[in-house]
Amino acid sequence: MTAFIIRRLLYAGFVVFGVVTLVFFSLQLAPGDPISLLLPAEGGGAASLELAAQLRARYGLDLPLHQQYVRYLGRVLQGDLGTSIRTGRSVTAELQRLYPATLELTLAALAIAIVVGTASGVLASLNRNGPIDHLSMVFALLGVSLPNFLLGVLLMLVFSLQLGWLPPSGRVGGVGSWEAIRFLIMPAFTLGLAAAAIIARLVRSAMLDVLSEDYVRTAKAKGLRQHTVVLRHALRNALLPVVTVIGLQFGALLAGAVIAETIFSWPGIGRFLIVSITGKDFPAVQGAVMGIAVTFVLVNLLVDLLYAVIDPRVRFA
Amino acid sequence: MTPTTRIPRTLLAVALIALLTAVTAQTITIASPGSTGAFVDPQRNNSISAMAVSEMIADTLLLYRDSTYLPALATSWSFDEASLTWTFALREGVTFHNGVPLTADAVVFSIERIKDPADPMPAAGYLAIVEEARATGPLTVEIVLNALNPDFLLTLFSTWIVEPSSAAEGATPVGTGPYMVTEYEPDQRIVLSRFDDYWGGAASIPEVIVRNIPDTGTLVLELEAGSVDLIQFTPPRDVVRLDNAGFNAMPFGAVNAARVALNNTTLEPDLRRAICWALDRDVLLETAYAGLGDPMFTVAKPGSWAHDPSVTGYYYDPERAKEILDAAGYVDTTGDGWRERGGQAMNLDLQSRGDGEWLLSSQIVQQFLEDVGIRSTITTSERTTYYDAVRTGRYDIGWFINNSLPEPPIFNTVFHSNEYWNVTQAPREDLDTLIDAGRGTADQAERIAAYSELQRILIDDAVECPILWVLQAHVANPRLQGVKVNAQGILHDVHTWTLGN
Repeated sequence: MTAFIIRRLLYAGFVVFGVVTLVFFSLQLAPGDPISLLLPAEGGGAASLELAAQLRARYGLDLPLHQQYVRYLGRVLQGDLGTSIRTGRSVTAELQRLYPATLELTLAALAIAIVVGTASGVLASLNRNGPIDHLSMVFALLGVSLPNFLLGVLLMLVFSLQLGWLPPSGRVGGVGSWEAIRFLIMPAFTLGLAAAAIIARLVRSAMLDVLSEDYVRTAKAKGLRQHTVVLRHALRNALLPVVTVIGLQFGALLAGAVIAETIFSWPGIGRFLIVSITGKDFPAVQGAVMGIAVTFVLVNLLVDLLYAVIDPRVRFA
Repeated sequence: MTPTTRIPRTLLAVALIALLTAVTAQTITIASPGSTGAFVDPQRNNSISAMAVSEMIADTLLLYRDSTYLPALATSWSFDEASLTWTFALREGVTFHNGVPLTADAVVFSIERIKDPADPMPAAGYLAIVEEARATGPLTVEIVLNALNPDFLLTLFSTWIVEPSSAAEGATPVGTGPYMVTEYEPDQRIVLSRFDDYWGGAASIPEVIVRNIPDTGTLVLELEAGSVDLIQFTPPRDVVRLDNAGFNAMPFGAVNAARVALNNTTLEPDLRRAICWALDRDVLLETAYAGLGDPMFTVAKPGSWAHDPSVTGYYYDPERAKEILDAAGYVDTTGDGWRERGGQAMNLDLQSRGDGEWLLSSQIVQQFLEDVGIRSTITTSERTTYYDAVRTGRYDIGWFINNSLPEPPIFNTVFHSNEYWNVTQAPREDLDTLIDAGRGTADQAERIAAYSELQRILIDDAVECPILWVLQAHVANPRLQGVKVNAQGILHDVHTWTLGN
């Protein structure tokens, strides 16, 4: 087990290195000048070429590409992700500040996805071809086909503008407080709905497979109560493929957070990434991508380990 | 629970709610669109919306309001033309937020900090003309220029004065403004609290929250939901609707020019002229900008001292555009409705930002070009990529908006070859000479002559097509009273704003 973990962590190192290198060079290939965002806004006589040159030198953008790359890698190995061109602040500090918000949003969305998805999947499987099944699958269809940005705006129109129940956007600190939860509900639901839909469909089909197994019939024949059969015997086995999907969905949620954070003005890494990409803020983009890559790799490792816990047949050679 | 214990608790709850309402009523929230929030270092802000924060936390030497200079940290000033030296007498009894009194040294430090070549601030370009700043007394500052600029005082609009000891490496410098920073979440929100010792009198509103909302739809919705009191740079399509709904729309605009930028190296003069005749400015104004602004025919503001009425400029005349194209050999020989020249098909690269009215304007331009047989293809990209494309010449036509200072009332500096935003791709010495002449003399007749000639050349050669003088707007909840916006759109004098019911 320990050897497995060490091996996977080494792989993770290679993955992160590959991602950073790829992002560095692809950003350089893309057109755009980060300096344009530092000059007086869009003209007015103060944006001289001399000032642009001074700003380029300040951020090392006047160096040849290979030198910029080597310099960047050297810094990263020392744990320094550089300075954001747009904000002038340390990228490491920015990520430390923003990461909790993204993690909070992603975990809340994942919790919604798991609870809503599993519940509707189980209910659908127990009422196969009944109205609940159809309702549940319509929900799943809507969940995967409704774009994040549309769902977010619809929720805002209903719950903020019409009903006035929830704040339209923003975030307040204090995880767990009612005020913080009010700000979290809509972005988390927007982000989690698609994953909930996927999980619902998967749980439904896995449950239908498991419910027809001999051991479930035996459990029923023994006179066990319905919820014991469903929860203890059927669901536990049906959840095996779901765990893998949850791991993958976590990655999708991190990606989806980019949109949800923008719509709901949620101060997380996703929004930071979008701003940094559009501003061609190289160090910030690289830092944010690295943060997301590391998270994704670690979550997948966690999922693999969880597999062994849930399914005793799985062992790590 | 007995009724007797229930009543006091109910009363307590009501009192608590009333108290909370009273507390929130003392706070206003200002929101801006875009993803990048303001900095709490006043000198680092480079966008108009972010400069509202700088205005609240720091002061400049003087103010430019309604075409007049008013005292701020400087109470009087004079200019010696022989030595190109401005002398400023500073206000007595002013203290920074950290309690340190304002001195001439702080002003000198602030100017040098902005100009520092190792880490220049956005205002460095304006201060390039400053040769030296020196303290000649505890409250007297001299600023020596290396060239004459009759509008130099105006260019000090973003030279916010900060306290030297607070601006150490990595620290956020403090100013003398009516509000102090009490909370800062970058790109998210800044909480500002009243500075009781403000030299202009303590602010009426104790707390101001400045938020950054990237999505413009959300921005407007927040105002309508009542969670935000003022939104900056409201999308044009929403300004009139919100105003009709009882909100207070505050349009502004000095030298805000929307133009069709033309690549002077890929488009020959006749083709450029035809393009300028082919565009209906009224349709662009009404459709893309909800009528907020005026058609623009030349680069000088109509009715201003810089405007030359003899230069009439371009207006919508598609027949003239067709005549020019025919005469220049751009004709449709294949009968497909598109013009060719010398058997070569023509398809112009119309670059556009992909957001809001920029894209809509580009689509309208494309339609008008189609009406006269000019084929074009729109390529949309996000802001930085678009700017890069037009700056480096990878375009034929581009919709472009630049804001400029209110003085001189002529849109001209972007045509200078030393200007970052010069997108014509064909720097011209004659234009440089006229721009330098216009800003390098105090002789009004000479300035008028230079700007008149500049207008004539820009139109005759169709260096680009002037299209609109754009008005932009901030929109506020009517409970917010006394809101002040200057010609550039910077919110100011927030300490005099009040809250109604």
